[in-house]
Amino acid sequence: MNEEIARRLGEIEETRDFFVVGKKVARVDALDAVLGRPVYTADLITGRPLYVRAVRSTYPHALIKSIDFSKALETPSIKAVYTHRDIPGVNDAGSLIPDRPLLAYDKVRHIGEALALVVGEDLERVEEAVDQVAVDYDPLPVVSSPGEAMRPGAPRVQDRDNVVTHFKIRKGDVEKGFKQSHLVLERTYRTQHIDGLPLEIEVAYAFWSHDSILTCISTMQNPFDVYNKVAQILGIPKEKLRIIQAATGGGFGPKSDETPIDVSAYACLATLKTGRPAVSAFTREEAMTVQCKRHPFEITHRVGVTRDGRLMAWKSTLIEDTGAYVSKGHLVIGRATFHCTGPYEVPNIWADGYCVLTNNTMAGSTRGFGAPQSHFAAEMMMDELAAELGLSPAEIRRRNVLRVGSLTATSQKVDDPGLEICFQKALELTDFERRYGELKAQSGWPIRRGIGLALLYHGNTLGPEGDDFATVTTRVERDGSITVQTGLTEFGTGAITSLILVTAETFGISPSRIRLERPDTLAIPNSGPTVASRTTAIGGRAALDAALKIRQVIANVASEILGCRAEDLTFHQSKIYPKGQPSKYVSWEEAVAECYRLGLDLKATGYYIAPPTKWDPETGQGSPYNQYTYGALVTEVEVDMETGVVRVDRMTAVYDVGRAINPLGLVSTYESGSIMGLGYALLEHIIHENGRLLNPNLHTYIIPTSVDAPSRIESIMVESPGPMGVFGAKAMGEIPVVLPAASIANAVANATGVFIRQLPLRPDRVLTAISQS
Amino acid sequence: MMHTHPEAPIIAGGVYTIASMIEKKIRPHHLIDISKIRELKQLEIGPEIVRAGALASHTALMETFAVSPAFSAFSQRYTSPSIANIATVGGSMALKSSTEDLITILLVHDAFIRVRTTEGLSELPLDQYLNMDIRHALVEEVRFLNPTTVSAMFEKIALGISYIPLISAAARLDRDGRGGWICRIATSHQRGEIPGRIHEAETIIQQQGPGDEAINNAAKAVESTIDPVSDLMAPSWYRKRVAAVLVKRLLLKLRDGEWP
Amino acid sequence: MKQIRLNVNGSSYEVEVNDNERLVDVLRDKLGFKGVKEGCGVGDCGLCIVLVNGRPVNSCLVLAARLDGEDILTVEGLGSAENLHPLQRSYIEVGASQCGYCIPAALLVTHSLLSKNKRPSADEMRRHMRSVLCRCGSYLRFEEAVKVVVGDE
Repeated sequence: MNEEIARRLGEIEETRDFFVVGKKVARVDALDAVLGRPVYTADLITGRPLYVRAVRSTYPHALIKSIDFSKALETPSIKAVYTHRDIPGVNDAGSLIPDRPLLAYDKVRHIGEALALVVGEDLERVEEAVDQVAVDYDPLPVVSSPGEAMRPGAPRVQDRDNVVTHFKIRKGDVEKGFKQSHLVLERTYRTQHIDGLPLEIEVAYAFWSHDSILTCISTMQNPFDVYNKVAQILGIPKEKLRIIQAATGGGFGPKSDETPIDVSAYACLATLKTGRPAVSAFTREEAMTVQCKRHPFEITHRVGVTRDGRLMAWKSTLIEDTGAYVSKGHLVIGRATFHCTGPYEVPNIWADGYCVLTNNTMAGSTRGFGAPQSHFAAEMMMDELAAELGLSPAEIRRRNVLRVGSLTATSQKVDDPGLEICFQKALELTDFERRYGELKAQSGWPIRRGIGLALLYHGNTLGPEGDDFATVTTRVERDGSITVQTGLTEFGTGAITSLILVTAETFGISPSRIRLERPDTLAIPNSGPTVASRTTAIGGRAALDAALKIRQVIANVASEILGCRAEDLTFHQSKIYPKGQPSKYVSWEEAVAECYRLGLDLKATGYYIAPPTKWDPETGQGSPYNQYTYGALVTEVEVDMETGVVRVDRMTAVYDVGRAINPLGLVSTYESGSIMGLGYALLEHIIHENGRLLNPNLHTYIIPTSVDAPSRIESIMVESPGPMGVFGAKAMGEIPVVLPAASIANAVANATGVFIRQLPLRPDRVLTAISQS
Repeated sequence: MMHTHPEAPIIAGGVYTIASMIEKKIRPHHLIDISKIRELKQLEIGPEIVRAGALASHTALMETFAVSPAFSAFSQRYTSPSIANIATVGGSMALKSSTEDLITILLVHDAFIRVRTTEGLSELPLDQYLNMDIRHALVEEVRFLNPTTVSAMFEKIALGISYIPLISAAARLDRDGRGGWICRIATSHQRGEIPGRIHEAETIIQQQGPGDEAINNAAKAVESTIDPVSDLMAPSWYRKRVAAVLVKRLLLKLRDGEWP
Repeated sequence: MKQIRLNVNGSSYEVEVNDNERLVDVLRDKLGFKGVKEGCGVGDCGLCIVLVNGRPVNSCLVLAARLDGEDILTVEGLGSAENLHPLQRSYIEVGASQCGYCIPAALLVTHSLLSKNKRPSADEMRRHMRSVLCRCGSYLRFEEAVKVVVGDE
């Protein structure tokens, strides 16, 4: 960026009097949604495509001896059955790690693993034909937990050790720290499989376009992951493939993971081989079986603390069940381990995080990415330590919370007061300390109330997980309207609206004049994955870059018209004028028209890549993230002591958003994560038994309904700008889902006197705990 | 039709049937639409007895008997109004399942069910029907005490959109006009996954009256005599324990006059 | 096959249906009302809800042939871009739509509630909205939107 643009950026960043940033603005896609416009993949299918359905394994672990599909082919409308032999390119559909075949060839490693595809003209006949494909399995012993997987001589899930990652933190000297402690507590916490469960099920629609490009429209978070992988599977040059993301009904992680690759590959394979349009769609049961899950964790903490509550030593073992394939497991364990001591300063840490293969269904990218699990364990541990010491949960945190100048678990220095501010605010707004004390002494029956506190820090954004870059392509049209296109996707977060706001702010025009084009691999360069809550922070930088480049061109032309220097110009409310002289203006439209007349190009691709992060894999020490989001959540609950039913009454969520680009959008994000986190805490459980998934449906897998939502969620935004995100913005999309489980479990402990160390806190579990105490 | 298709099992009403078709549990060769048989839609309300045709909707019952605490709770604790608009009385009865709150509620309203088989018409008490293995029976009508003339309540513990009960209970407590008490108690899981009345508990209240000790003993009797299934939603012991809690709470509310 | 007449969004449609064709399929595929979504096919999610004679019904659980002559409202009949229904406007204003997938069903369920009860309590709103799953967690936004609409009157 040249000096000119850097100065402009500085000016915009310094002023708090934003034109559109920070103001209440409607989402760009809200109108489509309330009108029910046909913008999702299934709405766009026309004509009579072929249907593609997968034949899926009925064993969690078995050798494949043979696949006989002769009966399936007897029906005339069935056009083909494909197995791994029919894959022209590479039989690999792993999103990051190439360990997962698209179609199983020698063995199946989890229930529901795909091993053949049936293609036909009639969906009902295709479904019947799927049942007619006869697979001869040779069952193998099932590894149903990490405990079993880690035993010596355990059956191998893949052709390698079942422990695929070992993440370490070695800071100071834990044994010395324990010796300096007055109290040492050891506790084990357990979390469950859940499904991110986007409500729009996987579906892909593939066809040859008139110019001989294999086009696939589908529902996804990462178009370029799908693009790169499908091209490789089909064995076709990338120029012959085009992936378009249609409106996507929810992401939450699964739509950024393996199943979007699968469903697009199924449809594209059929279209490639038959020349005809093809649709592949999962059923809800199928999606819930094979969609990636949130990693269940078993976390054991051994923590030493002084009499007055200062943390001296923290030893952790984190064991994560990644299922049959790694997906993002090797990264989730990293985030979980980095954050495993909670947002506190601990001088001596020894942590081991293990990612373990089992024959359970695959776990992968799910909102929070290891942080919810990690904070559940760390925040309960803090409350348990406080209880033993006779301190309040607020007091023990006050002694240890990360402040400016503190060192994190990786010895990274904190330079931001965000956590302290959020912590203080949360305590004040909820009168926490007084109420906690009151409720601890309550004697009501059968309903008891509880209040619980939890704090977080969350490294932004991809950090050590990959190249943290984004691109945004912006074009100012002849009539002054603006088109923005990026490979970053919208699927509910509202973050794309932030990119529009940043663009509108830079040009000084109304966001309503900006049109967003669909992510289309034919039209734009790779923008990186839409994950890790990086769209606003990182994508925003790219959007700003593109807009500033174009603004420079327009400013030069306007300066000629107005007879002043380009660097003196202000862009505001569709007018361009020298600072302080609003009457001496040229309109946005006039300036743009003049640019066109001069044959100037008003199109730019903005780019941003976050500085690479550095840390030592042997000790986990270094600076793995460029900035941190901070936060505090206080939850108030009611527990029926005779039935074990927990009801969340009120949540007070205080998060340091860095800079609120789109406050209205942030309220939705706060509530979204809070309610999803509530489900994780109280209701949701994907149940495996010997590798079989018992509840792949919505009547026995329970997600929150309207009556489960708290009566009130207070969404408090603190702004402590970070060094990396656009205008100081911090990652927020995932943040509100991280703390509810911790906060609710602590509130239940306040109400019942019992720490329940396993999720979900379903009525029977709560009642058992109450009865045993 | 039953005569021409003797092998055809009767499948309960539309909601369950279509859902089962989607889940591939059943592939019916013929679906016989009985929805237009007007007689089956009737809801005949007498001063003491109500007759509900098999096709009377759940919504119709909820709206008609909104003043009854039991039916008001039925409505409050219902899975969703959209299902209530198409679910039917006959459909619920035919399912013989703990998922059907209506069965649990009608059990305490002394319901009788009229079914038609190839042998002809049969009329039997609801709890007897629940425990009998009757094939090829079409529910025609259920008759029960007018809910506005009795004191009955219903409560349920359930989770999620389907609001399938972990456990639910209904109770009725009335004076018998001779200084004694009429008590009916039913739970969603009396045996396995089938609702039923708990006669032991009813007898305790009818013999001793609804004093605190009798109510506690009745609750204990519920806990010790029911034999609910353990499944994904809850273990058996939880259902037993909480059934007792719910029954105790219902009886106390009925006794002390705590209703809207 | 059977010829039936459906009154959808105020217009009459003649359509040929099989005995076992569900209302959701007829509305989406034969009549082009893509605003009706399908999320599970078994009545567990509520995304397919339409109003039949003013009442919310899971269109994946009803056979089209049974609704010959009935009045059906889908989200497309609630309002248009030029003429938004007050609820649609308030949904936009309060940020109720996130991924958008449940919005047609949420709007229709809310509309049917407000048609019967102009000032529903929070409890009533929640109970009605329990028909529809929203994974994005917009439940409080839906309540807020109703407050805006009710406040305006």
